[in-house]
Amino acid sequence: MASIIDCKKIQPLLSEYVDGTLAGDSAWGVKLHLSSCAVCARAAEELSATVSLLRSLPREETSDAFSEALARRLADQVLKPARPDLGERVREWWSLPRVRPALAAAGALAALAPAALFFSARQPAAPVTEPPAVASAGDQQQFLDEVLEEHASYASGEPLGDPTAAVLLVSSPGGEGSTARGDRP
Amino acid sequence: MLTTRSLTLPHSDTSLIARCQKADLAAFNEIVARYKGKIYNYLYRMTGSAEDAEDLTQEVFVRMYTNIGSFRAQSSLGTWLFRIAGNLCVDAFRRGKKDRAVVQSLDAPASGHGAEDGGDAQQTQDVPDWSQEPQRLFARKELGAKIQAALEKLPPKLRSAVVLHDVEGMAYEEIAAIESIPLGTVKSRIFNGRVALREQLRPYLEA
Repeated sequence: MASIIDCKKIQPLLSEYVDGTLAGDSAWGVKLHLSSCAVCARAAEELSATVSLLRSLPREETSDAFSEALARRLADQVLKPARPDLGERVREWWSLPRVRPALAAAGALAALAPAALFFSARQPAAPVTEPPAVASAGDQQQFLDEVLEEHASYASGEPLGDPTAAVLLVSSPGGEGSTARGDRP
Repeated sequence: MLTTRSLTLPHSDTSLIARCQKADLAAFNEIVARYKGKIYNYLYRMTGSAEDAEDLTQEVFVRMYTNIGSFRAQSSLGTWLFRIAGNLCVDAFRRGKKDRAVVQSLDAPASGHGAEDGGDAQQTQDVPDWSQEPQRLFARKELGAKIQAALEKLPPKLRSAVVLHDVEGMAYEEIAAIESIPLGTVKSRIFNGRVALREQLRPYLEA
């Protein structure tokens, strides 16, 4: 009669035994044990019946739409490149050759802007000067006449010290004895 | 007399892989036609859902096409595909979408050692009567559902080993390669899985 110890050793081998994959000596030992142990023999029969049930399961088949769905999935996921995620798009944009210099320049301007604002605030406001008008030929002549008259008026007091004064006096429209300004008091 | 037409042999997996690595879609389709039934059946038994099994089967072949360039034939194509399928199953179970509790519970609660106890009489009432042909057909369908429900009660690792061995008919060595586990672990998983199924399906073992 089989002992409980034998049963504990035999039970783990029953799965392989019903598969017929147990090696020679072990298979012979299990067979001998089962011939004398009704409990283990029943356990072996039940395991074998369980395997038979599993093998009786019908084979399931894919639906008719399987191939078409697979082709569509393959086209979507593999054959057509997927849209990169946000991180990849940012890295791609950053690697463009024109991007980095432009961003560097923009960054430098942004850094200098506060300093420029600071110094411009400290400078007094520059006087607003009108742009010099372009002098016409008539204006220039009038200015020159005034200068010459002023010079002649000044030099007429000291004609000897200024040789040009005589000439000016002679050539002045006021004539001899008159000042270059003529009508001045 | 043999003619050249009758000598048309199916392409080997090796040649199909080589062509597939060169983006040959015809070779890809041939691989799909060759393996989709096995992969789908395995995934159906793992998930218990035709929709999920079909979705995962498609993903297996998309992954195969995507990674075919790195396939170095260290294992067979079938082993590689089943490994992809198993990994996808694990991912799906982790996401918690597929690892739901048994959809259809067994009528008879597992008693553990029910052969000799009083619960056996109650359990035998659930065994379908196969005496009449229409009922027999229905009973077979119902039995299939019971077996599937029992499978889904198994932990995924035991379920995978049992399905690969007893449903797909794979040898221990192939399963060890697919699951990347030692041979002894494969045997113990199959044994433990069968014992658990035996308890679940005991009412049907008598028939």
